[in-house]
Amino acid sequence: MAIINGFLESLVGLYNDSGLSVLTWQNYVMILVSFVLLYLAIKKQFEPLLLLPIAFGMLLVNLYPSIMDPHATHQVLIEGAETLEQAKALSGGYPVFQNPEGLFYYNKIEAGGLLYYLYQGVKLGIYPPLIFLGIGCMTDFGPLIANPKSFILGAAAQIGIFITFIGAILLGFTDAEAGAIGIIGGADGPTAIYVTSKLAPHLLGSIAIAAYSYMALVPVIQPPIMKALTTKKERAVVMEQLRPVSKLEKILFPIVIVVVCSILLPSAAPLIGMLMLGNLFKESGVVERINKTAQNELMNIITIFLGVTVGATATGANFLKLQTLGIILLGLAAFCVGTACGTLFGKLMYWLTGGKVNPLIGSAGVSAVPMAARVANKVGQQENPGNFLLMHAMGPNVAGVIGSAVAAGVLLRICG
Amino acid sequence: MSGFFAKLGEYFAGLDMMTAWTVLITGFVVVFAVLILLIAIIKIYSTIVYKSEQRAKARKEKKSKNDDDDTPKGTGAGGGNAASANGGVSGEVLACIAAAVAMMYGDSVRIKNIRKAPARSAWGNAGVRANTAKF
Repeated sequence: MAIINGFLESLVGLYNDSGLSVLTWQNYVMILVSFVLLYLAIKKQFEPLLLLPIAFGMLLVNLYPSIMDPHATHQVLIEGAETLEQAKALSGGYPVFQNPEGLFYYNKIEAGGLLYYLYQGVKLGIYPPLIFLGIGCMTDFGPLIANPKSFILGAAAQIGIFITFIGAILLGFTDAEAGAIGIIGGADGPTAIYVTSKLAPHLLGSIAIAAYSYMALVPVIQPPIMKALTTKKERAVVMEQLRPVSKLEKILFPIVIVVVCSILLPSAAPLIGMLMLGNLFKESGVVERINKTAQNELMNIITIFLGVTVGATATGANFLKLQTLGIILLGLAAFCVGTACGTLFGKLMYWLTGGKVNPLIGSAGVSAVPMAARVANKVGQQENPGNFLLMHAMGPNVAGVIGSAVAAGVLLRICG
Repeated sequence: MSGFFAKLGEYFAGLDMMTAWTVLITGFVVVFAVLILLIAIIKIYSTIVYKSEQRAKARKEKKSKNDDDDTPKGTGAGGGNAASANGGVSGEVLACIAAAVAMMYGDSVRIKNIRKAPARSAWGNAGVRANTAKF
């Protein structure tokens, strides 16, 4: 009989610990959402490098919420201990203390969940700058150096961030939350995560998912806006070939950018500093081993940690709110306004240069490297198949990365 | 209806629009100012670098021309100033190229310059991918 009771108690204990008893309906909904994201990442290949780990992190945390629990300290009474020596002998090595009533206790430290520890890299703002290091190693700023006016287009596309900020305030978000939502318009995942982790960590899951989803949807979202704001004649403009950029110019570029941006806007220094360090690794040509590690192994490891832990912040209780819908809609608005402003400034440059600039390249100012530049190239080729805008669009595209980091610095300074 | 607008008015009155406008204007001005400053700085240093490189190139060409004039003709495939103008090509590769040229054209030709063909840039590769990959 005792054996049967023990067996039943074990079963009840197992049931109480299992997801069947612990999980709420919100967790089950989030599990379904994670399946949809896994489908989009694997089948549709929507930014799979990040969407897949994000979706899996979301799945894990909703199956086993304790995986994100912080470490906990419990005070355990040491029964039968009358002296400090006896208490120490019975404490199992934990630090012992005595309360005013003379009872001995020890502090038992319970380790936190795996993803809680990995999440510290997001919380402390470590992973996004390291991702920027890898991006810097892979980025060729040559088109931007050859045509520095591209910076204007990179700046114009950031207007969406600040206009969305107003929209978010009107919807009742706080300043910090509005800043984090607006940065989705920068179309730069690491920047969005960095800013959100500093300003509104409770919105991290929804903002990261919105940012990466829109970045994956660049070929769907941008072309209608670009076509609506330009004429056939403007889209067909063939631009002059860019001048070759010397190695010395390429080496000086990251040094100049980091000095100027860090002095003027110190809060943007972690992002821009790492981006430019990576670029200097690449352009200097003297640290090939480090360059390869930063753009491959290091970046891949950080991408896994970043993706899984950001996904793990999307618990049912955090994500299934009306607020999330607001974030997704505002993020889309930010993205569309950024694209529109970039294209309109491209149009302005078209007029000012007497038709030498194709306005489509302005849309690439919304970071999302190199997808936004590819889209500008593709839309241009629909009017003139012999027109290759990719190199020209890469200028505003990489300028957008710097522009969104500068915008992030402004938001952190004002709202942080 | 008037109650709705009154509530809407109360809602907007409770919002901190001062900060919102501050962020909009500051963000707009700072982002543009910083990036326009970068345009100016890049233009300045590009001009300086371009001019100094042009001067260095002119000096190099002058020196190379002088060397050419000093070199007796018919020194063979490996002779002359090929080694000094090897464009970053290692000595072994230079010797191989010189031997191959001598084999094909004989001793009467003179190699004036060996340069690496320009490699396609990262964006060039991206361009090729963009135009060949499924979109």
